[in-house]
Amino acid sequence: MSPQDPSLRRRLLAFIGGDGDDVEAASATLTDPAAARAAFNALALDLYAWQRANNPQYDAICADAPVPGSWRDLPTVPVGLFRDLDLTSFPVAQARVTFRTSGTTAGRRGQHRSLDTVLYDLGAGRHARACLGPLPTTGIGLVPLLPDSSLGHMCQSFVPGLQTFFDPDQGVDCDGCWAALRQAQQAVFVPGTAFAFDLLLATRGVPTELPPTELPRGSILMVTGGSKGRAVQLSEQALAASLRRSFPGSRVVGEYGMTELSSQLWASDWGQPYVPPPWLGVKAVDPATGRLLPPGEAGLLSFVDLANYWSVLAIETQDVGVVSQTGAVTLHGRLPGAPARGCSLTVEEALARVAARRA
Amino acid sequence: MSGGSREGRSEGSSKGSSLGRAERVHAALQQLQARPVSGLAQGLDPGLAAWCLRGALEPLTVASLVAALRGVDPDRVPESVGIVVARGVFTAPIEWAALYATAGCRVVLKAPHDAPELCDALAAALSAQGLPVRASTSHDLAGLEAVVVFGSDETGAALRSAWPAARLTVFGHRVSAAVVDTPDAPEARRDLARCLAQDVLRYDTRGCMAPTGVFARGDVAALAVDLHQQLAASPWPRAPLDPALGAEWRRRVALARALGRAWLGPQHAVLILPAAHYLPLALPRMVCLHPLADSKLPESEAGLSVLSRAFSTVPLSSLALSLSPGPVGTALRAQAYRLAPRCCVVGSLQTPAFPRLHDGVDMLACVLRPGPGT
Repeated sequence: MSPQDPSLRRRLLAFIGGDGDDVEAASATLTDPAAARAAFNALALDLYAWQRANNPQYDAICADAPVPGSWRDLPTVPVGLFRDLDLTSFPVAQARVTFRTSGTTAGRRGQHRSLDTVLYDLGAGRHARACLGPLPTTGIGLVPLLPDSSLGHMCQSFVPGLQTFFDPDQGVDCDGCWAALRQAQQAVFVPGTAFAFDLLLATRGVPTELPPTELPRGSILMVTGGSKGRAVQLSEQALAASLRRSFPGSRVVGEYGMTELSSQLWASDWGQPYVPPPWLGVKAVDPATGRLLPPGEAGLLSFVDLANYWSVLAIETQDVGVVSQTGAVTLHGRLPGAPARGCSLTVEEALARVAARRA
Repeated sequence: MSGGSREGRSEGSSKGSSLGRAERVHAALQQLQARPVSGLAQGLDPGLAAWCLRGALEPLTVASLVAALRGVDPDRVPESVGIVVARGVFTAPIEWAALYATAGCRVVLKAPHDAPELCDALAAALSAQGLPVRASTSHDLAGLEAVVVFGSDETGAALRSAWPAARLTVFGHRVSAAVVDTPDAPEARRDLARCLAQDVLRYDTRGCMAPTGVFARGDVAALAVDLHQQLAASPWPRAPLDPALGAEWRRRVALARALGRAWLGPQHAVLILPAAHYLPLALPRMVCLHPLADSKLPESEAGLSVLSRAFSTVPLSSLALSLSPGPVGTALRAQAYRLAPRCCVVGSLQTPAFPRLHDGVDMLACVLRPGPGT
């Protein structure tokens, strides 16, 4: 296959873009699993073959893999390898877009490179509208708007001109954000991490002494990130309740995405399961063995993302969750770190040592 | 903290008394070895566990126990010693308890809450010989004169804060590795692989003395093939892989496929990875071979620079060495001795001598009362 297979890319654009890129078409695809799954499966296998022909590192990783019969058989790349490998289906020097992970644990940041964001933007917008309906045209954000932030890129693609009150070095400008929210005259899209929303609410004052902030009708608060284990999940419930109390009349939705994926899952009501788009296959695998688990069993989440055209389509994350028969995902948080093994280091400690060595 | 005498303290000053206690300790250890090991070994295969237990008990002879106390001022021997035991290497507390019991100390084993079996069995065997040893999962270390802690630095700090009067020695997390020259002769190479495999198999690569990586010169691929065969021939199945390690296992295998080579068995893996990807974490029965080469540097400098880079931020426990007597091997050996508190021959990484400097600390001196003038 050629480095850029025009027929495959056209098929992907058509599948991800849908029929006319309108909400109805997107919703129809979402609710027609049989047709969507068959088309998805064929595209996934073709994209896998194309990436193996054009992505030498992925090809090497898959070298001993049996011929896949379905998208569920595709060899996955552990998400941590984006720190160590290029994983591009094109010469890496030609990369025009690079999204980077925050790199909090391992020091070295993962990089997800591509030649363009056409499929990313098409899919992100379509699925968000399919799940949430029309998005507000103005935005007040608590997300980084740096060129290498995939989250910032997605939010700006939804709301060009999004104003942010988050700076990676300075943190959250809570006063500025509150002022902007209280002055909002039309529906606003308010994306932020759970951590940033928590900070924002903490600076609001004692809730019982302050009236709730009614944002203009149609406003959407998008919460992302922050699933780090059971203890925090409880606080997520508290945060959701607090957000709903503080912003009555606004929708509180959940977004699940990551730098290494080009597609996102949405919970149209934060706390409900996350729904993937038809071009994103989700499966849970046994954390120890990597073997596929049946629907309903908690395991490590793996994704096959057709929008990851320029890198690798099959990714194994470090997040644990349950995938339902319909593909909806209930998140359980991050895979707990391995317990200390006697007097040796844990995975986290070892990675931290490596980070220190590379610093 | 109690510093008072107890019956038998004065006996510690006589060689004969030490001998008597050493004989009782040895008898207890023989009793421990005679009982079924399954249930004591934190999930290890019983055959593997028995092999590990034999290896751990072998150096604990009456003679070595007595010799360990030679020259020790009995007035400096503490009345009581606590040993905070970490989960992982199930035999780890044996030599420490044996040493302190032989010295005449009252010994309290603070067992890991989720794996107390070996500590219980050890305490039962020693107390059955009339030695004052008990095990508990309680964190209450009140009244102990000295405490030896195995575990994280955080555990040590918490104990130090809780029991400030105790003489506390904390052995935090450390790692080990091997540095080898791959022999050209197939027979010698197979011997090296057999010894490396022993270090990898013992305790299913758990603990601070398990090899996190093997830095190798020469035909590393040939060594990998031999290692693969040795590990495949192991008669003992591996303990179930901790789910939390599965993701890291798959990450390393994929990385080796992309940047090096991988030989996989149903329960083991042998990988060749560039030294820049050395991670100070041993996975159960996974061997990461890191070629000691850097084309920009002369051979000896290349090896030294790889080692110093790899271990620049790693708290080392031990290095196992199998190096040729040539100039490069000599330089690497000298470097290894500078880097690690303990260097040993390949194959004995997980069976250290007794007694010894553990992470550079004398096993007995660390609990002794301060001497005159100190």
